[in-house]
Amino acid sequence: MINDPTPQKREEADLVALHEPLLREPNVPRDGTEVLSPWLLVVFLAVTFLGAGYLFWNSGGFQANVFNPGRVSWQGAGPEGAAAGPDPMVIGKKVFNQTCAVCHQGDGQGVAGQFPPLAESEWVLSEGWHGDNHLVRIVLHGLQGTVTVKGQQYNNAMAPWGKTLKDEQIAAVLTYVRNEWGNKAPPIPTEFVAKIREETKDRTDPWTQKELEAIGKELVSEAVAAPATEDGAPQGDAAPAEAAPASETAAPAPQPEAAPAPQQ
Amino acid sequence: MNRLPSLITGITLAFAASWLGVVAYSYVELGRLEPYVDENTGEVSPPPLPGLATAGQRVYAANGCVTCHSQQVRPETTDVEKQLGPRPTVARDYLRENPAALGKLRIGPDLTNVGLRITDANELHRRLYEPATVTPGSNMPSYRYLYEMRKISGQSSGQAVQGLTGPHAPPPGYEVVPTEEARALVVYLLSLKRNYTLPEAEPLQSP
Amino acid sequence: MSALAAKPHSVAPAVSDASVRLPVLLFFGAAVFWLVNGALLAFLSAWKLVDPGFLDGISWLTYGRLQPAAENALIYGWASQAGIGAGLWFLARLGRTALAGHRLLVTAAVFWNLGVVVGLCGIVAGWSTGIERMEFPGFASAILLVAYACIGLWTFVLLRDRSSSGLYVSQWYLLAAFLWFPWFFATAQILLVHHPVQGSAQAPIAAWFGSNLIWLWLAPLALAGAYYVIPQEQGRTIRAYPWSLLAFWGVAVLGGWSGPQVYLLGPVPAWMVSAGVAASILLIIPVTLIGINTFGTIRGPVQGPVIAFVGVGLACMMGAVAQNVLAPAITLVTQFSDYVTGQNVLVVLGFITMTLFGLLYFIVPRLTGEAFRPGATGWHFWLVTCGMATSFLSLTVGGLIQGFALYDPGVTFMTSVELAWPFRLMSAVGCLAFFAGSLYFALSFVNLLLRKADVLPPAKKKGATV
Repeated sequence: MINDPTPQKREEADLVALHEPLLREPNVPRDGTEVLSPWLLVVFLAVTFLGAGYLFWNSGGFQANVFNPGRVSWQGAGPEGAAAGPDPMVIGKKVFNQTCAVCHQGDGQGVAGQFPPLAESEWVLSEGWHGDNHLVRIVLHGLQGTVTVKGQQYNNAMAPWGKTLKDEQIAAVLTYVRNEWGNKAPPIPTEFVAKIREETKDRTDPWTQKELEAIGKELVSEAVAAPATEDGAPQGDAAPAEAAPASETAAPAPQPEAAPAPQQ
Repeated sequence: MNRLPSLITGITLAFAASWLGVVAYSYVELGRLEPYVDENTGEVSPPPLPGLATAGQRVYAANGCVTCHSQQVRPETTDVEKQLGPRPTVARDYLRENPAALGKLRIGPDLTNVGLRITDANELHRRLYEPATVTPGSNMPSYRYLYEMRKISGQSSGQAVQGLTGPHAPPPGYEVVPTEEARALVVYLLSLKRNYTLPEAEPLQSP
Repeated sequence: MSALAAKPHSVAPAVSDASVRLPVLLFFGAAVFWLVNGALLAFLSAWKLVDPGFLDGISWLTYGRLQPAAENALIYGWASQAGIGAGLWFLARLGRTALAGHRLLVTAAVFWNLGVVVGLCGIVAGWSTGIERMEFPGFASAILLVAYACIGLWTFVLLRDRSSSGLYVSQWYLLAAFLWFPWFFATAQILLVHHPVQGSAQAPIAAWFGSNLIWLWLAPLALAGAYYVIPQEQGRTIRAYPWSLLAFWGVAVLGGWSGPQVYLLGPVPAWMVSAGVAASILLIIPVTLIGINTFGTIRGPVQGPVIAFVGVGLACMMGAVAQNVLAPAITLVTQFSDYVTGQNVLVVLGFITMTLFGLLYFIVPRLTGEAFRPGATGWHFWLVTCGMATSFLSLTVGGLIQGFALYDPGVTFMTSVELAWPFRLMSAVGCLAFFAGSLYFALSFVNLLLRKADVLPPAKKKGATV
C-alpha cells in the first residue's frame, strides 16, 4: 500500500477556501458532526476535573518552599516540624568551644586551682542549693570571688557573656554542658534564659557565691510547670522584674525556635 | 478581514502565561534564594564550594555525567532508605550548582551525596580511570583521557593514582597522574554532600 | 506576470513552489544528512550502554558526549530543519504567495547548519553546557538564533502577503511555532547558558524549555503538516474543522506548562510540578480532538507513504500523551529508569520524525516533479517503524523491570544494571534498524535529487515565468 510514491497529479485543493465556510456556519449539519456528541463532552469535563483536582490536592499551598505536596510544610508543623529545628547539643558544642573551652577546657575538667570543672559539678547539675536560675545568672553576668566546686576552692573571675551570647546560645551551651562528659540534667530552654535575663536586666556586676546562695533555688521544670509560683524571694537588684513577663515567656512548652510558618 | 493581529495576540498571551508562571516565577522565587545561615552557629548551608569544585562542575557537564547520573533524593520514595542521602533534596541544595545537574536517569547511581559515601579522592580516581575493575559489571565508560600515563623518573609523583588494576593499569616504572580536569572533577564529587539541615527540608535521617 | 495582474497577490502553486524550491530543498537535504548522522550517533551511544568497552577511553566518543550529540543532531539538525522547510512550503502554498527572493533564506539555512556543526563539534570536543537538549555551547546557539531571525522574518512575510484573508489551521500552528521558538529558545539560553541563574532556579526553566521544544516547536510544525497533507491526500475536508482550532488553543496554553512534570517529587516547588501534571492530563482534550480530526479524515483505505507515516506519527503522539497522563501513577517505578528514555524515543523518533517523513514524501515530489523510486518507501517505512517500535517497547518493558529494581531497597544498584541489559541490547538493535531505514531514505532522497539535477535549473526558470 505504501509503495505508491507517484506524486498525485490532481490539482491541490485550496484548503483555506475549503475550510473557511466551516467556521462561519458551525451548526450546519454535515460530515463529522457526530463528534460533538455529549459523551465526548462528559469525558472532557471529567478530564478537566481530574486535572484541576490533581493540581488542587498537590499544590503544596502554592508556595515556593514546599517540595513534597504530601507534607505541606516542615516549619513548625507538628512533631516533625519541631524536630527540624536546630539541635541544641550541636549548637551548644560550637558555642562552648568558641567561648568556654579556653578556661573550662574541652573536656570540662577546668584547670586545678584556677578554673573550676564543669563535669560532675554540682553547680552545673543544680544539686544542693544550686539552681538552674543560678547557672543562667552566672553566664549572663559573670562570677567573681571565692567559689567552692566539688570541695575545691577557686578564686578567679568569670567574664559576663550576656551581651555576647543570645538567649538561644546560652540555653544551648548550658544544655550542652549539662549533658556532656557524663553529666545528665534536663535541658535549659531558651524561654527560661529569657525569663532570667528579664529578671536581672539591671544587674551589671558579676555575681558572688554569697549573692547567689541568697537567691532561692529554681529549676526549669518548676519554672515551666508553675511559672506563677513566687517561692524565690524577690531580689533587690531584680525588683522591677515581675512574674507577668516571665510567665508570658515561660508558658509555652519548651521547643526550639521554629521559624514562623506562613502556611495555609 | 485580517485575523492575523488578533491571532498573534492570542498566541502571545497563551505563551506568556507559562513564561511568567514557570520562568519569571522561578527567577524571582528560586533565583534569589540565599544560603541559609544558622544564627547560632554561623554555619552556612549549603556550604561554599572549594574553588576547584567550580571547575569540576564544568568537567562534570562537559563529559555528560548528567546523562547517566541523577542528583535528586526524593521524598515519599525509597531513596532515603536506599541511602542515597540523609534527606530529600530541595531547591536550595542546588544554590551553588552551575549547571544544576538534576538528571533524569539512573543508568548509573545517584550522586547527590557521593561525597558522603566516598571520602577518599584516590578511590574516586580509581573509579573514573577504570570503573569496571572497581565495580565488576559496571557499564560506566572509562575516563582514562582525563589522566596521564607517565614514566616514573626518580621520585614517584605524590599525585599518582594508587591501587590501579586491570588492563589499563600502569606497567612497572609508570604511573597514572590525574590531569587538572580530573582533579577538579574529583574535588567537585567530594563536595557533593547534603548532610546539612535547611528549614524547608525534611530533617536528616541517620543512616 | 500579466496573467496575474487581475489578482496581484494570488500566484499559481507552481510559482510559489519555484520561489521556495531552493531554500526548502536545502533545508530538507541538510535535515536528511543530520537524520542519518543523528541516527548513527544514537545507535553508537545505545551500543555503548550494552558494551561499555566499545570505542572506550576516547574523549570525543565517550557516552556522555555521544548521546547528547545524537539527540541534538536529531532535534536541531533533522527535525527542526525538516519542519522549517515544510513550514515554508506550506505557508507559500496556503497563502498562494511567492517568496520575493530566496537569498536570505539560503543564507539562513547555511548559518543554521553552521550552528549545528559548531554545536555538535563543541559537544564532542568537551564544551557541552550539560543542560538537556541545550548542550550546544553558547556560541553555537547564538548562531542558530541569528539564522532563525532570517527564517522567522520570511515566514511572517509569507503570512502577511497571503492572497486570502482567511487562515487555515496549519497556518495557525506555523505562525505560533515560528513566534514561540525564538522566545523560549532565547529565554532559556540567556537564563541557563549566557547569564545563568542560580542553580536553585535552573531545573524548572530547563524542564520548561525541554517540553516547549516538543510541544511549542516541533509538534506544531508536524501538526501543521498533518493538517495539510491529510485532507489533500484523502480528498476531504477536516472532519470537524472548528474543533481543530479549539485543539490548537489547548496545545498553545498547555504545552508550556507540562514541562516541570519531569521533576515529580524533585527539588522543584510542588505546585509547579502539579501544574505540569495537570497540564499533561488536560492535554488529553486537544490531543483527542486532533486524533478525531486527523484519523477521522484519514478513514478508509490508505494509499501511499504519506498517510502511512503521518498516521504512525500521530498514533505515537497520542501514545506519548497517554504515557504522560499515567506518569504520576507509576512514577515511583518509572522515574529515572529506561522507561523515560522510551518516552523520549516515542516522541522524537515516533511522533515528530515519522510525521516529518510523511511530509517529506508529500512535498519533495511536488517540489521537484520527480517521484521517489517505487519500492524504496516500503523498506524505509518498515525499517524505521519497526526500529522505533522495538526501541520504544524494549526500553519501556526493560525500564519497568529496572525501575522495580531501583525502587526495591533490598536490591543492589548493579542488579538493576544487569536486569536492564537485555532490553538495552534490544533497543540498540532497534536503533540500528532505525539507522538503516534512515540511510535507505537518504539514499533514495539523493537518488531523486540526482535524477532531477540536470532538470532543476530550467525548471526553476520556467516556474518563475509562469
